[in-house]
Order: sequence, then structure tokens, then C-alpha cells
Amino acid sequence: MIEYFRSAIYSLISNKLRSALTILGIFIGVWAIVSMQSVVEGFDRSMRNMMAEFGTESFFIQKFPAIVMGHNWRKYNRRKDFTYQDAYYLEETGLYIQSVSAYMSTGAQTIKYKDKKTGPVVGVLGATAGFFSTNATTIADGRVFNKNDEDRNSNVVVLGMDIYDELFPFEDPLGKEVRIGNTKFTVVGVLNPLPGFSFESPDNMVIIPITTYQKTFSWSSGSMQLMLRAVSTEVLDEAMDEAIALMRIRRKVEPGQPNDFEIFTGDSIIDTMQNMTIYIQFATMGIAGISLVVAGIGIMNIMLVSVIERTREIGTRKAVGAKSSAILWQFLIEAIILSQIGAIFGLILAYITSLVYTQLVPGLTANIPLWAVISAFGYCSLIGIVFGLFPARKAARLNPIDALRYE
Amino acid sequence: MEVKSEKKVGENPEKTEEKNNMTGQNTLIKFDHISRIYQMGAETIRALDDISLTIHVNDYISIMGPSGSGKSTLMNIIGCLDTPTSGVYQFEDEIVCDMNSEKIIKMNDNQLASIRNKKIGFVFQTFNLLPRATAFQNVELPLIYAGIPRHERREKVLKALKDVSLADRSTHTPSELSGGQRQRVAIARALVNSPSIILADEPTGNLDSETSREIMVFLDELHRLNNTVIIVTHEPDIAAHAHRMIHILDGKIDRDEINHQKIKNPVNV
Ligand SMILES: Nc1ncnc2c1ncn2[C@@H]1O[C@H](COP(=O)(O)OP(=O)(O)OP(=O)(O)O)[C@@H](O)[C@H]1O
Ligand SMILES: [Mg+2]
Repeated sequence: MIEYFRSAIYSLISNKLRSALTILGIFIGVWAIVSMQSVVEGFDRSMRNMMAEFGTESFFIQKFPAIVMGHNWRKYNRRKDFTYQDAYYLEETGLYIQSVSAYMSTGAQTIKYKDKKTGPVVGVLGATAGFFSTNATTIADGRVFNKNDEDRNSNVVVLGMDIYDELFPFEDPLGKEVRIGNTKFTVVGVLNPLPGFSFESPDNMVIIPITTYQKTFSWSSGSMQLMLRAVSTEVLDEAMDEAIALMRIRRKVEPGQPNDFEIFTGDSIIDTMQNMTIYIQFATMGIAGISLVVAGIGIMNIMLVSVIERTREIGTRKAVGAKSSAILWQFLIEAIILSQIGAIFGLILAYITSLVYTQLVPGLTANIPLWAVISAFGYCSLIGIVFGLFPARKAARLNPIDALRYE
Repeated sequence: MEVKSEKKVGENPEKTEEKNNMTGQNTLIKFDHISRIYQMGAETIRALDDISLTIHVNDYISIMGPSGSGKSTLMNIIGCLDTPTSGVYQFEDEIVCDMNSEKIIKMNDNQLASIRNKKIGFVFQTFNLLPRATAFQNVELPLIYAGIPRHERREKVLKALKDVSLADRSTHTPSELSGGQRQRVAIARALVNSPSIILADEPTGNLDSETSREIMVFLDELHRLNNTVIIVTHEPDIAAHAHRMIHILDGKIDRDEINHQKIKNPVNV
């Protein structure tokens, strides 16, 4: 048996190009699936972490569901937008509601300070002053902005930790002016790392008053999101019922009609996300299965060519006493080794991909789950056996004289 | 020159009772009305036509005959690569196949492989070495299939290579060797398992006359050291090395005669 391995490896090494082409399919298949898996897992985990930090008394109201499936979008889009006045209304009126914050954010922006600037990847969040208490954010330095700043549309900004590190490595930022686009903002505070609601890490964000946001980023209009905090965890249900009732009245929803907004807790988001993750996982598995089967057919194809190419070799081996089973094993082991090497390279590249992904997407740690590694090897062995068997049998069954005579 | 001297054949001489009246040696191979017929559609090709033949231990036989007369077919059947369509083939004291009796007796593929491995050494016209393997690995091949452990293999391979004067070429691949050297590697591979018989089908067919002579020196030496050798050739001067010369014509034995020049000065009788 060891001899078969030795000779299989030897013959694969002596035919590097053919071997490389054969494993390419497996390699790409494994790489795609495993790196996909690692991203999904990382996403899943970071969602969980964020939600855990929101605390169990938080919930959210927004215009769109967390996930909108294609054609429904129009239906949701007809709903009335949420404004920050809604937030103040709820905070003042609700008995079980302790605080409410409205917020919205832009995509990637560049923040500049003097000749330093960040990459074009910083999220700008416009929020009501209540954001900091609703979110249980803590301030590392300076102050958060307040209702006053909001009323006066002040150009003040609170920096996330990463931005602070990047722009003010050796300087006190308080009172300094940074620029977002062409607008100048005075830094009033720096946040401790805080849990965030969007995919971007909150540390990679700056927060400005919602009114200032509307003025500065008038192009980024639309509905705001509301984050609410119940007085305590025990009255979370009451607080949610109250919020629903108040919003239905305010938005003039007829009795008997469904809500024209979405309300959910952090937990329910996790559930939704998990459902989505499962769908993604099923989809990847399907694609994976198909791509690896295709790769398996590639292995079979190249093994068949290899059997024909090596007909004389097979004849020679049989002439010096190789049993059919020895030839069968020789080719089968070659197929299995090929698929395993493909799996190894695929996993290595998937690992690199997950590292790159972790670097590129802040707040997300992609990480290859162990079961993916094990099943990659298992599945690839299976592919090697299933698709190697036919060529191997063909080789084993060759008649020695015909094989020796083969030109 | 060193050629291996250990021999497996004739270890149980009392088992094979039949004596050859010419040389007094033991029977190694017995063909009893062997035919090999190919049916190509309506056409019937009698590659071997009712051949009866006895080969003795330490025979040195040359087989000659025109192209297509059935020489290779005969060698393949002797070498258990092919099976006759009728007749009885006995190797040492085992029946390889008996196609004549009521119930056909035939060794299965694994038994045949095992005979090829342990009892038969092939030398081919086209060498048939594994192109990407070194001389050492090529010679090692039969030992691997015989299941011999690694350190023992090494010893035997190096000895076989030394016997064909190629000890210094063990790491060369066939493409790095001359035709004569390749054939010597093939001879080393044929004798590494101490077979009962060495079958050489036109071993010098692809070599020039100088190299051919070189190869024949090795085969002569093998015979001198008590090996049984059969060689197929088209060249009369190659055939003249043998002690018994068989001529085949249309699948039949045309002549089977003693080479009196050699027997006059017997090496081994
Ligand atoms: N697989 C086969 N199918 C059909 N006919 C075959 C087959 N193998 C051999 N023959 C026929 O059997 C006959 C004997 O062939 P063989 O190869 O034994 O001849 P040979 O004496 O070795 O010839 P050469 O000197 O050219 O090598 C030929 O007529 C050949 O055509
Ligand atoms: Mg021939």
C-alpha cells in the first residue's frame, strides 16, 4: 500500500502540468465554498456580537424590513418616511419608552484633517442627541453633542475610535476642525468603541447632529431609523406595544390594517439573519456540490487520458507481475491524492481570502470553521474515489498484450 | 563479468519425472497441442496451429521464422500474457491451462500475474521501461509487486544492475541511457526476481550489431549460469548463440534442431 502511494506521488510529480490542471477544478471549488463559508460565519458572529451589546431592552422601528425580497420593494417604498420628529414624539409620549434616537448614515466618505486624510471608507452617521444614551455609548474624550447643537445645526462631530487614531495620532482632537467633503466640522468628542447597527464597525464612523446631517448631505434623504430603549427589560413588550400604538395613530393607520412600518428587537434581527445565513449556506452548498462534481468529471477526464497515455506502462507493469488490483489502486490513489492536493490548495487560498476579507471589511472577522475543513477533505476524497474509479477500472482491466502492443 | 548465479528452477528435480533424452534435463514447460486462433469476423487466423513442445531447464532456445509466423504469440503464451484457445500448457508442475478437457481449467488473472512476477522474466524489443522512472526504479518494479520489503529490494536491484554492468547508472532515466544500456536495464529487471525462464522477444531488434553482440554476451552468460533462455530473432548469427534452434512457419513448428556447433563445445552439459 505504501508503495502505491509512493509510486502515485512519483507519477504525479513527474507530470506536474497535467496534475496541476487536474486539481484546478477542485482547487477553485474548495476555495469558493470554504471562503464563502468563512465570510458567512464571520458575518453571523459579528451580528451576534453587535446585537448582544445593544442590550436586551433595545428595539427598532423602520420603514423597510431588515431584508426586502425583490418585488416587494415598491410596496414598502410607498410607506411614509420616518423623521426625527417621530423620535421626539415617541420619547415624550411613551410611558415605557425611556429614550429614542433617530439616525441615518451615508456610505463611504473621506475625512480630512490638515494634510492627513482617511481612506474613502468612513461612514457618517447623522443622529439625534438621544443616540448616545439610547445606544449606551460611552465617551472617551470631550463631550457628545446635545439638543442645542441640534437646534442650531452646529457643525460639530464626534469621532469613532479608528478615525481618531488615524487623524490625531499625536494631537488632542478637541476643538480641531476636520473636513467632510467641503464642510468643516469641529471635533467635540471621541467615542469609546461602540456597538453599531450597520455592517461597518462604529469605530470607523463619525457622528454629527441629524439636523446638520440633513443640511450637509441633503442628497442622502429618505427614511430614518429609530432606535428605542425600554425603561427596563421587563417592560420591553409593553414598550413595543406602546410604540406600535403611538405610531399607528401618528401615521393614521386604519384599525384592522397592518402596520405600515417594521418593528423588531435585536434578537429578531439575529433570527432573520440566521435564516438568511441558512439560505446562503444551502445555496453555497448547492453550488459547491455542482462545481465539485464538475471538477470530478475533470479528474475523470484527465485520468482517462492518462490511462490511455500510459497504456504501455500498464502493460509493462502487468508483464512484470502487477495484479489488476495493484493497477486499480495505483490509479485510484492518484485520483484521491490529486483531489486532496486540490483541497489543500483550495483551503490555503480560502484562508488567505478570509484574512484579506477580515482586513478589508472592518468589524468582520472571517474565519474558516473546522467542519468546513473536514468536509472539504471528505467530500474531495469521495469525488476522487467516485470519479477515479472508472478510469482506474479501465486501466486494471486492460489486457496485458494489447497494452504492450499499444502504439 | 558478474551474472547472477542463484537459481530457482530445478529445486525439486524429483517432481518432474520426465527426462529429455537429448540433454538429460528436467522438463520446465510442456505444450500439448496448443493452438491460438484469432477470429476476425469471417476470417480465422491460426497464429499458433497445434504446437507440441517441451522445454527443459537450462535450455537455450532460439526461435526464428518469417514475420507473422506466430513467434511472439508463442512467447506470450509461454509468458502467461496470453492464453491458448486449445491445448494444455504445463509450467513446472502446474497446469497453467487445459482447454481440452471437459471442464476447461485456467489459472485466474491473479495466479497468472503471480507466475509472470516470480517465474518469468521478459525482455522486449522495445525495452518497455517506464520512461519517467530511473533504472533503479525500473528494476525494482517486479520486486514491489512481489511484496518484497524495501531494504531487501535495494540489495537485489543493485546486484541485478551490477550483473549487467550498470551499477553506476542506477539513477538515470531511460532517456539518459543508450539503447544497449536500456536493454541491459530491461535484462536486469527480467532477472531480478530470479525467474525460472527468461523470454526475450527480438531483444536486439532495435540495436546495431555491435550492441547486439554486447547483449548476447549477457544472455550467453545467463545461460551459462543455469538459466533457461528463449530468444526470438530474425538474425541467424544471433540465433546461432542458442543451443537449440526452432523454426516456425505459419503457426507450426517447421524445424526443431540442436545447434551442433554449440553442443560440440558444451558449456554446461
Ligand atoms: N490481437 C490479434 N488479433 C488478430 N490477429 C492477431 C493478433 N495478434 C496477432 N495476430 C496474428 O497472429 C499472427 C502471428 O502474430 P505474431 O505477432 O505472433 O507474429 P510474429 O511471428 O511475432 O511476427 P513478427 O516477426 O513480425 O514479430 C499474425 O498473422 C498476426 O496478424
Ligand atoms: Mg513478434
